[in-house]
Amino acid sequence: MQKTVGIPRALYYFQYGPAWRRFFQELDYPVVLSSPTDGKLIEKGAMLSVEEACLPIKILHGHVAQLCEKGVTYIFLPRLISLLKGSFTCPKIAGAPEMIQSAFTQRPILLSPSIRAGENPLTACYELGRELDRSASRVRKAWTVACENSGGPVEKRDPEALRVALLGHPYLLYDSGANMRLREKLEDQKILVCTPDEYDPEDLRERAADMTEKRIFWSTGEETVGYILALLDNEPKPDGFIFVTSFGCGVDSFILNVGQRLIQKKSQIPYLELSLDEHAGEAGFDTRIEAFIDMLERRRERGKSA
Amino acid sequence: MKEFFLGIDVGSVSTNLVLMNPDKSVEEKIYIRTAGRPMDSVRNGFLKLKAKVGEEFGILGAGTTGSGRQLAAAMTGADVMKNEITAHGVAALQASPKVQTILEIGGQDSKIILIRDGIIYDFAMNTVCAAGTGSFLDRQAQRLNIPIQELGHYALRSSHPARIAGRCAVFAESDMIHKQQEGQPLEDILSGLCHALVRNYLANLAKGKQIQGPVLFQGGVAANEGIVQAFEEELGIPVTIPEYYDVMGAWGAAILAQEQRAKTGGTSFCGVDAMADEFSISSFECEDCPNRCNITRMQRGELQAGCWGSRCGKY
Repeated sequence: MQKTVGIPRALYYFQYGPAWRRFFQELDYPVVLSSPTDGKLIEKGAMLSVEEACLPIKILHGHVAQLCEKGVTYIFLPRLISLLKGSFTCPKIAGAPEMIQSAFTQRPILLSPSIRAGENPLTACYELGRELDRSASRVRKAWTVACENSGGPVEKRDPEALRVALLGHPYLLYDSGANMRLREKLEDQKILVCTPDEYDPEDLRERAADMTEKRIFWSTGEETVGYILALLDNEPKPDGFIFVTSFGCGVDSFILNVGQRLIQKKSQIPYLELSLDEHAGEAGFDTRIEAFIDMLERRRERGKSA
Repeated sequence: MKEFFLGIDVGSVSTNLVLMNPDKSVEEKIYIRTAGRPMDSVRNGFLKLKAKVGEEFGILGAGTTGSGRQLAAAMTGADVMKNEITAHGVAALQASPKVQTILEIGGQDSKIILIRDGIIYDFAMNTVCAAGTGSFLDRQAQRLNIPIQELGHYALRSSHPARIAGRCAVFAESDMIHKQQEGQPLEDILSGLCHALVRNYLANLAKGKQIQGPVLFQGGVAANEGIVQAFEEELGIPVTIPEYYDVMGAWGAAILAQEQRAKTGGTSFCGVDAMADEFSISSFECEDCPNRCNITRMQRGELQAGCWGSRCGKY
């Protein structure tokens, strides 16, 4: 039987997924993805994970459970320690492979190479190659191809639409099962949604580093701050910011504050915070979005007539 | 025959209805407890309003707001269904055109709305936590066996408010019990509770926001003089309670219904007599996909009056 690599559609899959998939395909390992996050999956993940975990980690558990059921040979869950040189992921992200190990005693083989920005990424690739029985030269080639295929699609945009920028971790922004279809809800209202993936992470990192005396410790936090700075420096500016966070997130407890102050110091642009957990009621969530859009529309009308 | 606009605000704790004249003044209002039965409270509320008016009248348009706005809209055939922020803002601007800041504390949520140049400029709403809301006060009043209406009077009689931690309702309660076992007077504990709630509200919602006067305080909790005084002390500026503070959402919904009529020229309201109809409601979990949405169906007699809850739009 052919060996397969399962990739959970969770956490940093939303940022690096296309490259990861391509890498394994180049090594002739068919990739099996878990299906997009849905209510049942969240419920299952919450049951399997430790009680204190944040929503994204609970969701990860749900995806892993599904891959176990699908009977894959391997599960690819890299140990992401640092994504940008000099900044780090949060302890839950870095410790995700251990949490999965202890939550799933019967499971496929975990492929969890450690990823530290600044180290040669090929080191991790060679480690995978040894595990998957592929030569170093093949691994090198697969890595090169994967890097070339990581770009996202470019969409057409209506310049007249209200622009709303989403802030937060990629696994909340791009997982519509986790964020209660936030993006779709905004787009249904003809809102143009902007996200940090439109920028090069290195560029965002530099912008953030220029602002602070000391580097921000967390990679996503640094990217978020850099993204806010980039949006405030460029035209057209967004009409509103929405910061999506998961209840109990340690990184965001800090970055939410920095981000909000930055926006208020440098602009008059409205800011909304949306907090998610597995119990979050959709009605309250929708009320906030609806009120926020109402406000943006009324502000714009006022601006036009003034 | 008189003609009014109807505004309905179905909140977690109270259901409020307003009949508004075409000149935007309030003709009649009613504030009743939702008591877990929103449909009954809308129906009974309307029948009581009807009795208050005492003569035949027509409805020019209807609007709903509050967490039960969808339910109320399905029941009444409302013309407009709006979130509470917009509704409260619109009503506050009608009550006091120069208002700059609106503090609103309801049963299970609290919000701050900043108005600049006559439009909603910024707002914030509490997150999942209910520590800074009316339900918390309700619960403490119940525990102490004091009618909720009296809680404010007690607080006003205090000369040295106790220091209560307001971050979390659970810890605030244990703090209050601790103070009570130390023998501190009830008045001081309750005044401390009011200050704790206000500090928590300001720390959570007003963080980084400029609170400028005139300030309006609305929502059911505005009836509590202890909270009003605590707000004035913490903010250092006067806080005004509008005449219709407890039904501002409903009033706002009526104003929005009037705006809607100006656009469409008609109303989809079910009619005054149909408001006495009985509704039945049922719900089930759709098993067609793993989202397992909870679908709610509302029926007026044999006819389906509304159906909601599905993510995909199937129902």
